[in-house]
Amino acid sequence: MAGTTSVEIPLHDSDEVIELDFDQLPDGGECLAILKEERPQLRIWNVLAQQYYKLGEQDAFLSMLETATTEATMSYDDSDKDLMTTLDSLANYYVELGKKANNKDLTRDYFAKAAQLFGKGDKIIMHHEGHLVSRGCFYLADGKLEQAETQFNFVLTQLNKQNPPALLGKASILFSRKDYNGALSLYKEVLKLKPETCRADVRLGIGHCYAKLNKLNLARRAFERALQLDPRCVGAMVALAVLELNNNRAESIRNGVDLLSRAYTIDQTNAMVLNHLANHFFYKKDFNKVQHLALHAFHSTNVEPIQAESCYQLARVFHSMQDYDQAFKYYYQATQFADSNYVLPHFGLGQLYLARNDPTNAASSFEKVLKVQSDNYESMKILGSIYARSNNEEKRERAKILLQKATTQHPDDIEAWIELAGILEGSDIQGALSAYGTSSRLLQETLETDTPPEILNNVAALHFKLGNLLEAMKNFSAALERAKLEANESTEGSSYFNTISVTITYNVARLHEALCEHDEAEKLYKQILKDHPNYIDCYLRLGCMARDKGHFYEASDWYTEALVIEREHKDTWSLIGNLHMMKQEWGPAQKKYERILNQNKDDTYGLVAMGNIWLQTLYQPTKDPDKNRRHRDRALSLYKQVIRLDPRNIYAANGIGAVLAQSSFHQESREIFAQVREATADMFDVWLNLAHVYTEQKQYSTAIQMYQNCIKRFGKNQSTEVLLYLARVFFKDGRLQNCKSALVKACHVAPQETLLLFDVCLVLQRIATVSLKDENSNLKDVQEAVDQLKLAHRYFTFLSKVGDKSKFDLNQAQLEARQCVDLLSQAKYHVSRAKKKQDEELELIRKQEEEHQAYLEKRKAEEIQRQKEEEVKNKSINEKRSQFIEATKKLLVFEADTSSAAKISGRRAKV
Amino acid sequence: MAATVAHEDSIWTVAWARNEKDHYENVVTGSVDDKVKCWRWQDNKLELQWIFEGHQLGVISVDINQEGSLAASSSLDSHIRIWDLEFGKQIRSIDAGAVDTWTLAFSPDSKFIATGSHSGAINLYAVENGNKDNTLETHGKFTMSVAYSPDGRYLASGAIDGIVNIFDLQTGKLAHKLEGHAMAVRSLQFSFDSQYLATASDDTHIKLYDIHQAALVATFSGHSSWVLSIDFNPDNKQFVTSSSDKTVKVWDLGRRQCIHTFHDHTDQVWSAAYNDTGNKIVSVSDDKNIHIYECPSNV
Repeated sequence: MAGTTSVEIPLHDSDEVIELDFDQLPDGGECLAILKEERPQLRIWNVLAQQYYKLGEQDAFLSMLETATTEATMSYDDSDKDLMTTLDSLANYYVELGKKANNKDLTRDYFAKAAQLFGKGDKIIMHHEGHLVSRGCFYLADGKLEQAETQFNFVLTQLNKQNPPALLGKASILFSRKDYNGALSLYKEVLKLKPETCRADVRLGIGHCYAKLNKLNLARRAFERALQLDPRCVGAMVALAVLELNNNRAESIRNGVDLLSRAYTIDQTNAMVLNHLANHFFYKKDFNKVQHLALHAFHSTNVEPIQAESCYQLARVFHSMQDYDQAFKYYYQATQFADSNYVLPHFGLGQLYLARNDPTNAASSFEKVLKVQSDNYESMKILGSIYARSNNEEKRERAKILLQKATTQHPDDIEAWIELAGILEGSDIQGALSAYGTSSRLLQETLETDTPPEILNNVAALHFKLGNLLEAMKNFSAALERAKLEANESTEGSSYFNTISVTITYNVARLHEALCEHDEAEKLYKQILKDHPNYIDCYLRLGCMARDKGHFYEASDWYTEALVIEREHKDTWSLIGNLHMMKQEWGPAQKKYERILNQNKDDTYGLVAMGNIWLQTLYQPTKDPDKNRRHRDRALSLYKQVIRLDPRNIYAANGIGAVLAQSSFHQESREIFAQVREATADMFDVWLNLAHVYTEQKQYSTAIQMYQNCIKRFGKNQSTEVLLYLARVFFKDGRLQNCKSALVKACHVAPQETLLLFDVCLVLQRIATVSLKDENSNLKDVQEAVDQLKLAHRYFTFLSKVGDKSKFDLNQAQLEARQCVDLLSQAKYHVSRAKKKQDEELELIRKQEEEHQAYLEKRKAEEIQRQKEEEVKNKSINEKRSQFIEATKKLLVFEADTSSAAKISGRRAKV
Repeated sequence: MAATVAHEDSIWTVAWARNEKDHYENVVTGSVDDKVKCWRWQDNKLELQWIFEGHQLGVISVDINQEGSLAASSSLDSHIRIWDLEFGKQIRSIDAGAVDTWTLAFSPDSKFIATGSHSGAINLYAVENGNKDNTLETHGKFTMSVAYSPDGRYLASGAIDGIVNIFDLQTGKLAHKLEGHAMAVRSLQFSFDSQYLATASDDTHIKLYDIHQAALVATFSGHSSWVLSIDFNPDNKQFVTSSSDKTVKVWDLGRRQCIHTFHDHTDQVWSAAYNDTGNKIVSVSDDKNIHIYECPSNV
């Protein structure tokens, strides 16, 4: 039909026609009236409808086609094909309406109408080329790419491999699948088919492919060509504008904005144009315009990814205007509309979650950004920083990885290095130190600033942890110096740096404590308190130092001072409770721990401490088994509660082990203790408990080794408690001398402990008894045993009068004293026996000596005799020898003769 | 400088003095193995001279008299024994009664031996005949340490609860009571000019008092565990301490700070002492070793 400029409508029942020139078409209504009157062939209806469509008279187009299906003459050849055209044109029109509708319901209605019309067409000619293509385009518009592709493929393989709309449709499918090269070659094919009439949108498609392939010059040329072909092609304007804006030069930005403005004058409802303009005005800080444009864009489209962009623009404006609630709302909406690749709103949302102090949601937002842009540096850093503050081990591990990646990506980012150092502090002290080292170096090199006091302080603290106390002191001193300098230099920051100085001073004091320079530490704590009387930790440290010097009342006073500052300070109550525990004041201790639990019933420290009190009561002698069981259950349930709250709490585990051991579940308790020790080798109690269990299980040598290791490892050689345990297991193992040595050492440490002396005497008595009863004991052994018994008797008698009644039964001492007397009287027999034995032995020795002497004399006589004989013998030998020498001389001569003779005879034989 | 495995068990006590007559330098040690040993320091070597036996339950303390001829030792068996260092024999055994002897000290005139007791009282025994000559009542707790001032005017005692008493021997009355420590004072010593008293305590600190004013002059901290012994250098410029933290520390009296730490022992160091010229230090430990050090000089 190309080239025709008019159409003829044959008049009803006559040969005349009405010629309608396309340039001078009558009013749509009028034309429809003519058509209705004359009822020409359907083909003519279609042609006219198309013409009105081109004129933009869509109402005429619609009513003509709709009327045609019922009124047109269809009794001619190929009328079914024309009917197909009618139906498909109508359907395509509804698809277009549906695409443009800014409301989903409307779109759905239009698409439903189109689907119905396509359905009608199917019944007439199933495999009509144009029909199939239209239907494919419809699926495309409806987002059903698979179905659309089936339609296009059918057309291209079965009907017409050069069908341009099918090729274009397929190209757009490939484009959306990111097969830009594939799409590009299809567009080019269309271009080859109809180079001169090709529409602008083919060029547009080519341009977008090039843009995606990052061939920006080619893309630009394609867009420019599209614009030449169709100066009102908004798509090309936007695409060109984006290219210009991305150039980021003042001139190209101006060009870009010009293009956008032109596009805007053409189509004020194109959401893409609106969004891009909004974006431009955002950078111009014209927030009103941004809001206006973005809102407008949002309402002009129902394509969700574009709406997401509009929301993002709005959110960003509110964010900049510090209206965080509105910003949050729009960022959130943007994330709901956006497809998964559009991560900008997630970034914004993450920032606002952070501002709302909601790190969990913030983290998940930034994770979404990283999922799409795995190298997004900002997100990496922020996420690293969020996770670094988490208590979760895995998250902290992830923080480490993110920050390490960030520092590798930007090795000069000081902030990232500091964050990394911070996270490494917990797991890799050396790594942390080197990260701090890098950040200090960067600070000096790039910013030419000295290392800030905070970093120096942290570095010092790390050295402190590593036990490099002098290195720590060096850094603390430097930190303090810097902080004081900064405080003097800046006026607005001076209070901040003063606060830091106080913290560092406190740390220095702690270091002095570690160096055993208690007087220095005390001076510093007191100095801090003079200016900052609310620094609770200073009171607590002063209290602890007093406590360690045995000044319990002074310690208590310091703790009380701390309570004046803060009534419900948990650490203070714990320390006061512990002080009571040291003095074995279970009741008051319990009250203090209860105070902690009243504040927080899940405080694991308080719960374990309470458990320990009930456990302690189990070791007090009682005659009430019910009470014992009750206390045991209480201890157990407290420990269990802690384990539920914190499955890795070794103190609670140790407590459970102790309760089990106390109930004679030795194997079970041993397993628990072994596990605890595996978790930490630094817990004195668990070593001791393991040794106790080994003792109970009669594995004495293991127990002994365990106690000795315990003494060595924890420097407990002044602990009478451990020495007593060691002595006990030595005793059980029958190693009485070792037992005595351990007890004597304990006595030396605490001579006022009469129980120790009592034990010494018991083992002394036992040693003496064994020695006396041993038939092999000599007189010296027996006499020593008698001395030991006398000493034991003396001390038992002494102890029966002045012993510590709370530790042992004084009557027992009396009984033991009597036992010593009995043993001493028996000893007389052993002494005389040993004396007799010794006398016998001496007699024996004397006899042996005599015999030996006699033997020696006999030997001597024999020797003299032998020597005489020897002399005689030698003499005769010598004589014989000289004779022999003489004889051999002759013999040699003779032998020489015979040998030569033999040689001669040999020769003869050979001849 | 020198290390010797000297006893079969922990060594608790050491004393060092030159015999005025034969000029031998005697180092006397006492151990948990019940033996008292006398060593001669000659040619930079310790040679075992005598082994004195008779004690039971470990030798708590030894001291050598002013002339360097006699050593006294005390034990958990409540006996004090006096040994002749020239001829290597026991001269006297004094039965002090149940737990009525602990650490001991010769008086500067070598006539008496003072020792602490369970009841807190300090008993003075006459060297000549072994009789109890006098008792100074502290009315306190177990007395763990005693010391005479070199001028013979004062006797100080340290108790298990940290209380330090200073007696005026001329009047036999308590002159001062010092309450600076709250934990056991296992050793105390007067400076050679009898001006100062230094106390070593389980609280890890050493305190220095002016005896005439009974005023605290200084507190020395640096040991990380109990301070077990203290001895003044005859030059009066420094003193030495030993500790459960396995170290021996030398302190400058004037500057009031530690000038050297010896880390040679592998277990707690019960006792350390200077020789009579103050250029050497001896120390004994739970590790059964005796160490002799060149004395670090005050800088």
